[in-house]
Amino acid sequence: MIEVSGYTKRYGRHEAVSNLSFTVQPGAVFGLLGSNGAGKTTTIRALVGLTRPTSGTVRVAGFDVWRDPVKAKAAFGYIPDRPYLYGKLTARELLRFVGQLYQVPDADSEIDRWLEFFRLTDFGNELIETYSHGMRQKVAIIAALLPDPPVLIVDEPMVGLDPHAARQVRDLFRSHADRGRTVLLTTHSLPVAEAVCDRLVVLDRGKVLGEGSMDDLRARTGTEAGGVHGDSLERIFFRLLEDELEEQRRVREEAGVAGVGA
Amino acid sequence: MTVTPAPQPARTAQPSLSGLKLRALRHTLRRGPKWGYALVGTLALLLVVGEVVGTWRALTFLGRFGDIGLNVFARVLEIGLITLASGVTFSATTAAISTLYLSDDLNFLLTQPIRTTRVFALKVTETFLNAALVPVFLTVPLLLTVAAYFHAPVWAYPVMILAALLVFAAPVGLGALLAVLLMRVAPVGRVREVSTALGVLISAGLVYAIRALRPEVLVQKLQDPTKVEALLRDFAGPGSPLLPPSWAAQGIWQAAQGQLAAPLLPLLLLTVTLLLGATLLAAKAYQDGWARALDSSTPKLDPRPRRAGFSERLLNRLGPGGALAAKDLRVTLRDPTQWSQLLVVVALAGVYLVSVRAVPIPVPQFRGILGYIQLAFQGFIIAGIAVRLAFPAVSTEARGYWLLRTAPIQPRQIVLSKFLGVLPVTLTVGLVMGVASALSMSLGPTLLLLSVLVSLSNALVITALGVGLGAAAPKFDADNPAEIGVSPGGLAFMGLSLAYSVLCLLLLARPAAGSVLRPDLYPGYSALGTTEGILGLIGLLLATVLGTYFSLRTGWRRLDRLE
Repeated sequence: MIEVSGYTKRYGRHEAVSNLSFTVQPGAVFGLLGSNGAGKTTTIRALVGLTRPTSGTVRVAGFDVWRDPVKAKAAFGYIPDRPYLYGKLTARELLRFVGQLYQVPDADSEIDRWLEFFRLTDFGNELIETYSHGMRQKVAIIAALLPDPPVLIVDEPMVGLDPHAARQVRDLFRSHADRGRTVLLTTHSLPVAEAVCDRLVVLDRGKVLGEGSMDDLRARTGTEAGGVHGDSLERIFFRLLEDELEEQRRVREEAGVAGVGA
Repeated sequence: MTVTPAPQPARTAQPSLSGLKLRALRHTLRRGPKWGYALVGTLALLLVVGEVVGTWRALTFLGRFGDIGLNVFARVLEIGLITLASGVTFSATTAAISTLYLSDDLNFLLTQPIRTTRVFALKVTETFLNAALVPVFLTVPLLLTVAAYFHAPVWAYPVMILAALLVFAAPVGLGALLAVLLMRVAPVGRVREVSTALGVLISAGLVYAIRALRPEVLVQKLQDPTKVEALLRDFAGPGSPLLPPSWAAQGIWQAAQGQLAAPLLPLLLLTVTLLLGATLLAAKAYQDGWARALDSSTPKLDPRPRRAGFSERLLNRLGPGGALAAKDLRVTLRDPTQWSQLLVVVALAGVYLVSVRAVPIPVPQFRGILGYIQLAFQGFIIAGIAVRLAFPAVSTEARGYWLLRTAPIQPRQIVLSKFLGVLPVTLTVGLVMGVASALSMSLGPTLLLLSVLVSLSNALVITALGVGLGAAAPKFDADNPAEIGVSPGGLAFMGLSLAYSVLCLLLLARPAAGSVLRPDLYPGYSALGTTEGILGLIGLLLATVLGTYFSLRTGWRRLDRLE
């Protein structure tokens, strides 16, 4: 389970995320959706202990990530958007190291199984510095899944993956959640979000534009009967953005009128 | 369908690449720790003041011997330039490979409409700054003092500075050329290994060169008044007339006397040729060399799983910290930029030991005092080792640090694991140096024991200080560990380490002095049984425990706060 409560992150005067709250229940795949700079990665970084919240709390599996970091971190696996790994280790050595950090029982056979799953068995003894971006991303995914964590936190999961691996990963997330575990992913790929996520938060410039299941969002944006692709997530997303822009324009105009009146 | 021709770019001035770099540097400085800059600024100022005063005094002293004495200074200047230029040559090849082929911004710059030669001219300049900035900084105040001492004309000042720049630019050009050639001819996938091996060979050459100068012979001859004059006369002419640093030394010396020396011209031509050659060749060879550097050796695909070896299994029993130590050991032994540091360490310790053994000190009391004071220098050697191994220990996690940061391991475990990983090296080198130098100088039992204790304390505190400060201000984007130490934190570490070495000596100075100056009153270990001795030992113990603990604690606390 993931609980984000009143999470705000400021860098100087810039507010990257503003008062964000959401909860992800076990058994669900939850998507953080938004354009570049929406605050998705900033939120994820707070959840995995890379960025300290300016205010608010973030809890994973019941543990505050910043007050009880070791227990919280033992409960989640994290897949970053850029898979920087130790180039001078082989995939097997790196995964054994991860297995030790997370105290994974019978790590060797689990590593063999995962390498086979991602068709990396032949490359398991090669240094990671010789891998392509997609192969590194697969190793990062295995590293996150090796401890079979109760919570999986994923930042832009499909970057660099071939179509076959991308489908495998999508299925993995779904099956992980179906086993009663929690999955949180950020993406700006609307088809991925639509295909995998049970619930979504749409962010823009650090603020929540909409939250709920696809049906909730359709109802809120009035896109149930939009014709061809009218009820797609893409339509919902752009409707939310348009609503937000409209709201901002209205506020500016009101402020302008008040200024003239004064 | 109508086809619209692509718009022609307007002819405007090309953007300044060095301006771009300077702007990035300004941003880095603005965001950097102000206390660090203040500390480094203070240390640098002290160094410059010390250098200026020392040079002036040396010139005044040698000036009493007339021209012969001053020529000795000229020869020492030449030896210094040869030594520094050799050091620059050693580091220039690896620095050049990092900047000419492995820089992150190369892909960006080379896909812009900028001439390739401009890009590589920038990269050669960066190599110069990486490899030669510190020697230039060390040399220029000395040269200006020489100029002031001789009341040199105004034009001599820029000429002397130019000579200093040229003498270090030449080895940078040579290193860059070597790097380019290596990228062309070294076996695919082994470019960095080959260049490191070459660097080690040059380093060994440097060690040999220093030993060949036999400074102890100079000391021996100076002790014999009948040989002083002959020695000074021997020193009057340039010692290595075919070496470019000798040309620079002559140019500098004569400029200080108001004469423009001819050897500056070949130095200028050589340096310009090397730098231009390196730039042009790098631009031409880039495509091929770049592709070779990125290529790995042909993978020998083997699906059979390779399991953990004995040492890994052993260390894994210690928990996550042990697993981290096993990982670090493996990465260090595989990464030439890391294992080459070990060779430099051995070279440093070797030169020191050989030099200590060779210094002739006939008077026992003087030998005892010097034997005790040299422990401070040993502390500096340990600091030189720690700045290459302990200080970068956390930073060498590089961009893979996210894996540790998001894993269930505490910053305390990370810092302790790094500390315990480096400690065996510093402890071994420290104890070997302490015991070997004490034995070779035939020191008494008290001084031998103090050597062991001070070496132990130095190794513990300086290693902890290195790991702690390195964890407090890690640099995860460095290309190789050697450049991590060249930072405000690294320089502050060196300063604090030296201060700690001196503190150790002060704590035990009285019992040490008692045992050396009054062996009749304090035979055996009895000097340590006095009040001063006991207090000194307690002080050393406290300094060691507190210094080690607080250094490491600072490290893991700051690492915990890192975002």
